[in-house]
Amino acid sequence: MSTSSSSSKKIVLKSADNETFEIDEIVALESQAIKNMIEDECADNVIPLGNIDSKTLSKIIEYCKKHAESPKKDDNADIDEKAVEDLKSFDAEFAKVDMPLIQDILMAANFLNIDNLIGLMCRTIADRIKGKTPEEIRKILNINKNDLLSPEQEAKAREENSWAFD
Amino acid sequence: MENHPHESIDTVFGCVIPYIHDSDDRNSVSLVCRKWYELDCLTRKHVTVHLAYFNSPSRLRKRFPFIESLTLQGFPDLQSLDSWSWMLNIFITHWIEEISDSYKCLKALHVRHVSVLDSDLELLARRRGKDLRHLKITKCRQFSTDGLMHIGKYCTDLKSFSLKVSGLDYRDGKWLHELALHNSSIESLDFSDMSGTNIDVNDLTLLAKNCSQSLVSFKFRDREIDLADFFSYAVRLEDCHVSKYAGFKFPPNLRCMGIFELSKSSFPFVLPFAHQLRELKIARVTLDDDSQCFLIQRCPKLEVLEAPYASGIEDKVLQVIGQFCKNLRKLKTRLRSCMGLIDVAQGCVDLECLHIKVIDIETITSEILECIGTNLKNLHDFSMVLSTYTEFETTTSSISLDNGVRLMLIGCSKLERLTIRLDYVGISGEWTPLTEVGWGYIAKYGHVLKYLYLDYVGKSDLGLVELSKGCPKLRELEILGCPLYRDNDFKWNIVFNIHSLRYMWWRGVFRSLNDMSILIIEWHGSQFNQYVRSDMLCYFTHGVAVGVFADDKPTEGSHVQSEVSKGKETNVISTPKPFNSKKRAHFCSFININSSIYVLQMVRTSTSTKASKEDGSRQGNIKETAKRYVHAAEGEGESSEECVIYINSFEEGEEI
Repeated sequence: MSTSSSSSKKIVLKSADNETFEIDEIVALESQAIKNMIEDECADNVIPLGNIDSKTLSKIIEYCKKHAESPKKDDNADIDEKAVEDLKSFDAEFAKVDMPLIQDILMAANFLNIDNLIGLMCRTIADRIKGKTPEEIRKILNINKNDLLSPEQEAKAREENSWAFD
Repeated sequence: MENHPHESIDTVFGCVIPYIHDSDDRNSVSLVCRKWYELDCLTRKHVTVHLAYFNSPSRLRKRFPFIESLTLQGFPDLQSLDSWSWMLNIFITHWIEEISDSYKCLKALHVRHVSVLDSDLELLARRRGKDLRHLKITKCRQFSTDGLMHIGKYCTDLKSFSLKVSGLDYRDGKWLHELALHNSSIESLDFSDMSGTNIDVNDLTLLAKNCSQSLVSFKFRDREIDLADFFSYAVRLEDCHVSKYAGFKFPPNLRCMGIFELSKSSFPFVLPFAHQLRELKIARVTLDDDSQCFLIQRCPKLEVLEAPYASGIEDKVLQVIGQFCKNLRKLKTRLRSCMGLIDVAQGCVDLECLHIKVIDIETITSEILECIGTNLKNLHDFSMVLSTYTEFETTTSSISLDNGVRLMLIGCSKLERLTIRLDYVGISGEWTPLTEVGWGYIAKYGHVLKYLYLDYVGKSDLGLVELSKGCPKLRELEILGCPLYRDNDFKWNIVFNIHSLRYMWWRGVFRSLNDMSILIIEWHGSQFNQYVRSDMLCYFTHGVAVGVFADDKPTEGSHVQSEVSKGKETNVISTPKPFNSKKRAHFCSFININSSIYVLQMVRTSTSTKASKEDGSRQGNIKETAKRYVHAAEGEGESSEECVIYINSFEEGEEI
């Protein structure tokens, strides 16, 4: 594993498929959940993340690295606009992945409690279902059809939706 | 992880739903599956209810138990509806009762185009006053300052209060005094439509004093009142619209400014703030073009500019706007010619809303519309009114805008609102900027159009036929002054192919009917099947308000009466379909015989009786009243006032 600076403390994460990722502590701190573990001193060894696969985890690490490197807003009120723009375009590129992966990332970000990433993924999903019909939304999100509204419920909701509510 | 188990998709959706704000998207996700329906119900914070279609406060509360913000919408805000809207009464008493008892999370209420009684305001204020943070009353009727007094007295923690009414029954100024006395954290006050209401300046000053730390927005139109003391307290104002500026300094944080007249005397007030202004509204201007340019050049942060002054804005001012106002999102103005529009379109590419009135109508071309389509990708509201300086002018224009409209719609793929009006007064000849081909383009390329207003821009009702082939999301349609030939087995059913259409207003030329001129229709999508081929009346299966006006049609009253009773047989009264029988249904008929107006409105309800002022003495025997007025409608020619009745408690099964 690469070491960017020998002095910084390392954290090792282990994915569901037993792949390990050694990262700088500062990167790991992007996750509120890991931060809490470190503060509670239960992150001495490897942190097992049994519900996150390596593909998802590596994406999350990519995101955390970038955000950990970028200047934080509260550090300096005058952070240059270029850095903000740079982070924005990174986020935009980062979100250009397929829907199953977006959902996995969202689930994992939710578990690891990474606020910015949760927001990014939610906005991405909200954007992708914008202006779509219920049928299209089911398709986009691969939603099981076992849990549909009964025809009567659906008819009633549809009627109210189209005529009554904005 | 290709297959997501149920729980995970629910977690995903639980995270995502707070990010879905658009009501259409909310409506869509609510139909995806049971779980999502429930989540939407529990998390929806704002709902706008269209009362003509849905009038059950208890059902709404059951579906969305935690709503915090509610808009009660009467009939839509159509230009041509204004003069008639006083007839389209929708009372909200039963909503206020339910809100007072059960809407525990409600913090914001907006009522639009409905009839509000003083007793409604009193009940609302007494029961919910402490919780209400935002109250907005827009173009409502029937209430007076007595009702407002209760708002002032009991709504003690208001953040914003907006009162946009033109015909307020003004009795005294106590309400403002109470409001000022009991509130200390108002952020926004909008009295911009209240003129001539003798507001006591001391009350305004008291209000500014008590809310000096919170008040950031203030809109007020009265030109007589001296606001010097007010401004000495309102030091945090950022948004200020007043008509008189003398004897005070604007507060330092001003971002939005509305001034009545830009003149030599007001110019020095505006100039020091120019560099920080986001919003500038000017009603009149007496400065020369160079001074206007000088000002605009100093407003680089401008996002909203409204300058609808009658003399019109010159091309070179528009050029400066395009050059300097790169953040402009909204522009409403009157143009002398259209050439400057090209500079605006090329310079202000973030424009979302563009409203123009064109004086020299011969300068509008398809190329200009094309330029708008090419550059303004975020435009969602475009309005173009072609008018003339005076009503005697004529035009020799033969320009067709059909292709321009096509190119604009292709380019502006987010366009939701489109208005094209020809101020027909004085424009002679047969010229019309759009033909049915143009209407066809609107249908074909108006994929996301929700509101469409066309005024004297069609040559025949073939346009309507074309229109009905597209516009899949259209909700409101207003067509004025376009010919309609009902003879040739008219295509009403074709219009009803647009299933999303909620409101339609047509003032056409019914040539076969001696220019019968006004028709208002509402219907439930494809359910329209009761277009009664009567000269006087038509109505629908869903018990929604319907009426027809005839200008000078001497139809016999008995005919009218038979139509009214026909209504009963055709579900209008006896089984309103949209919701179950406990809901209200409206049935209005507007009958105009021998130049006097007869209005009959019946609102069925299972709850309380609340007769309107006009009918105050007649609450007793509803059946008798109804009979009387149906007879009155038979043609005795009473004055219109006499013939207005409202019956608000029409029990199910009861017959008139």
